[in-house]
Amino acid sequence: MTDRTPLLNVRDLRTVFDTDSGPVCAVDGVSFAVRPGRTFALVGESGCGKTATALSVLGLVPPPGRVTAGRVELAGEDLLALGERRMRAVRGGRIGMVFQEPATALNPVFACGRQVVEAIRLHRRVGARRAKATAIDMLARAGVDDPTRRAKQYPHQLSGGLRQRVMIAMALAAGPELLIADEPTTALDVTTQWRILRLLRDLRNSDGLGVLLITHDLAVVADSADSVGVMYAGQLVETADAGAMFAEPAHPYTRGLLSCAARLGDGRGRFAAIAGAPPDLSAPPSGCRFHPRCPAGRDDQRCSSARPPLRTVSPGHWCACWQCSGDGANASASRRSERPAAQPDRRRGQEHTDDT
Amino acid sequence: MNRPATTRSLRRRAGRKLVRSPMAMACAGVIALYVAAAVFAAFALTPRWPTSHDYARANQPPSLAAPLGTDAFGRSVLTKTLLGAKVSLTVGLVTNVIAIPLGMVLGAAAGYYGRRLDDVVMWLVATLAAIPGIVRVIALKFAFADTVLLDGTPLRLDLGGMVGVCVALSLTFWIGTCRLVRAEAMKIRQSDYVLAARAAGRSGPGILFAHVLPNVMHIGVVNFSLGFVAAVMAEVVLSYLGIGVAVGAPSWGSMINAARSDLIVGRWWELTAAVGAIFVLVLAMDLLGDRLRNALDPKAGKA
Amino acid sequence: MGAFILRRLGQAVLTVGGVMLVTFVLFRVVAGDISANYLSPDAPPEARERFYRRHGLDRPLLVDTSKPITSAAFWDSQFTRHVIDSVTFRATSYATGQSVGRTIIERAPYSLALTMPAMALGWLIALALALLTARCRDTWVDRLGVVAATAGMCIPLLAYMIVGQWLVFRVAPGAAWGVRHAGNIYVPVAIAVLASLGGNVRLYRTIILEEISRDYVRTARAKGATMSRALLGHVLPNCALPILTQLVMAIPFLVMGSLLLESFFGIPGLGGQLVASISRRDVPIVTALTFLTALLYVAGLLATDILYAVSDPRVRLK
Repeated sequence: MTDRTPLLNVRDLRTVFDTDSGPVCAVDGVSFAVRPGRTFALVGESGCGKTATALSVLGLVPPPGRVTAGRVELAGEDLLALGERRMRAVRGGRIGMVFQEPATALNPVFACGRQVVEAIRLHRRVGARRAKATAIDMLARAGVDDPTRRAKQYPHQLSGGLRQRVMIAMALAAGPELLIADEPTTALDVTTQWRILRLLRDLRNSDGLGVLLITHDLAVVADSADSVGVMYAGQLVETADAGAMFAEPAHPYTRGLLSCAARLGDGRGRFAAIAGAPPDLSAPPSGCRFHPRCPAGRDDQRCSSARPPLRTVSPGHWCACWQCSGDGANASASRRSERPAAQPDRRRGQEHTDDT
Repeated sequence: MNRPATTRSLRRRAGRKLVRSPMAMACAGVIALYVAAAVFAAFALTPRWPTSHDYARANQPPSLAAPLGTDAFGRSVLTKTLLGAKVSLTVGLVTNVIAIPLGMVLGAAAGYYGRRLDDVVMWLVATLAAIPGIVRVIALKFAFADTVLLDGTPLRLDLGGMVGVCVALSLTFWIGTCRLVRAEAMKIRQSDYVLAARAAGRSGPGILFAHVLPNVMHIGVVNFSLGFVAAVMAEVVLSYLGIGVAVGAPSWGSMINAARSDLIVGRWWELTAAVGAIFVLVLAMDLLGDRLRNALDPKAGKA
Repeated sequence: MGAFILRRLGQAVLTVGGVMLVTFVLFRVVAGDISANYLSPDAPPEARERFYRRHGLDRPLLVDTSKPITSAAFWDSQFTRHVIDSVTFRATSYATGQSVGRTIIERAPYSLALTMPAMALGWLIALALALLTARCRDTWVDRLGVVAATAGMCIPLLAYMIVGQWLVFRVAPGAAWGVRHAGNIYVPVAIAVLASLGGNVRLYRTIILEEISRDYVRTARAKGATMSRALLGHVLPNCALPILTQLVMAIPFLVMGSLLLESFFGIPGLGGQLVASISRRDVPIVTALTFLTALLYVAGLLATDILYAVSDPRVRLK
């Protein structure tokens, strides 16, 4: 597997929730790729569908939700087509997941060590003692101090940061190739946040992991991500390398997000904010979902009637906006080497969704 | 600022959800049928309830003349069933109309004021809970069996009969509601809007009635349906044991008692009528209560 | 921990005291003329007075106001007698003259022979069924289970009893008529188990489903565990506490037996005894038995508190 071949390739993923007020499309035609040894960050406000995307990859979308379309390829193999038994081997064995709230994500009545051991023994045939030793090893690698003692302790006896380290140890215990981290630092204080992010980066570098990092915090993205995807109302509206995204954000939403982030020494009098609120997904706005809040597209006829497809702004930088700058050309075959591998299907997928 | 649990929009949404659910509407329909039957029985059948026996027509299986057959004294089982509906519905209603508000007020007061009042109420609850349910009811009924309140007035309350049953049952059913409401009231006490009301100078009872009680209404409503079922079942047991409402009038429990040896000799109609009537009513109320609980749950309904 | 237990013990004493007070009020103060149950209506007033004197019913209720107010004045009252007799189980029945302690020892085993197997079996089966429906959530198994459980809840115990007897009569006529032969206890036990299944399955199912939606179950599945493993290995240990609590709280009432089943099948247990005593205003028996139940109840409360403290690591390792 070369460095360029994506480890995780998500194409036109669509996940729908059948609620009392009608079907809600929480993930609407999302495509992105995660490369080995690199971190892809999925950014957006709460409720934009980031967690639903992650759960869809693992096949853990809770009812009344279900994945209705798309492909999720892990090293070429479509996970959505796998039966439950083989999917279980993938969960934990090839994809590890770290959740947002370690206090509730860990079982309160079992000791931490035991929970890590379970993660190991579900995928590797090892004896109890070997597993226990590996677990303590894993805890040490995750930066847990005095791992032998900590392994015997219960989650409520550990601080938030330690709990998150236990979760990371658990997720990586069976040696997966991909790590999905869903808001891993949101529940932690700032100092601990940076430590955990550093840990994730070190583990990624040493093990060649691909990391899918889900967050709403742009600072986390700036610190840890190699490439970024911005989600709004269940759709991917912009994707690029992190540097390019921060330097030249193309989508009005991304630009709004970046201007909202307070910067020290900025000297500005007030906080900028994006007017309005995220849409109700059971009745989303027509055309571009962001247009009611978009300073540029609010009154534009095209923005309110047709959903913009993802188009190249510059090499490797994609934006779904009628107002985006750039050559405005759709992806062409000649750009093969630069664009994410999902491209041709993405275009096809977009044509389908333009009709909605 | 925490939002109150039972805002008006929540109630409206609950109402809408209920109306939309075919199951809930079917159950409500069934209960309405029972109510109609009870009212009909109260006015049309009671005066004509036979006090004499007609042995020629005793123990007949269902036929056109007696759609549900006749009992050991020749009386129509159908009539008995309808009259039993009157008894059961009355007991279910009156018992809970007494028990639920009692439990709610005491629970809210105990939870909100805390300390001494809470200790007293909890002591009362624990004391009553320590005595097994049926024993409580039987004991109360026996204790009051000879007592007649307000004798000589139009409001004569013979505690030996129907009133006694209702009072005895409600004095044991208020506990469940009280506990639940107390727990909720303790949470509400900490909430922001209560704090705001106190900061604005609102008095204790004022807050109790304006803020606490409206927000525990949903508990009361749900417990009403549960309590109704429990009251009906308890009355059946009491009548079976012979200590239910007045001995003369039929009730489902007394029907079961009369028919308890009938099944073995092949006479199934009286037993089936009574058990069937109980089953359908209790099922309808239970399912409706279930839908109610789902509808009133502020967490449900979100994606 | 010690202070906690002390406090609970204090509450327990108050509760039992409350029970004594309630039974006292119900059966002595309000009950009216007790002797009417034991003497014929034409008995001369002297007979009545003799009855009262023999059973101490002529003493003042609470306090003897004719004497100076010392502790002796309280000592001689009915209430004190009431309390002492109950606590020491020395009270004797008005009807049979037998001491309460004796009655309890003779009759309790019969009640327990019915309620203990019924509870154990009922609990196990209900738990297994609830786990099954939770595992097969949203399939026909689950729906059938819920429907059956709901329907089962709505049928009165009386119906189970009568129909049960009829069924047994068709299959093994000898067993249907009562428990003269000890082995036939399986009939009322089976009936009790069946009748309790509906409600228990619903209850346990609710508890289990509530735990299933917790985050740590999602974590377990993300680790690659099967749903069954998550249920049995993760959810069950967390559910154990509420379920066990309910069980422990039901134990005190086991001694009383089921008064309906006992009277129907002729089992000489404590439940039937209690009802008969209430109807006869056999005050000593009633108060002693309720005292016993109250005692067991508060013991049960204490036991559940200790259970919580011991088994939940969050409480244990404060």
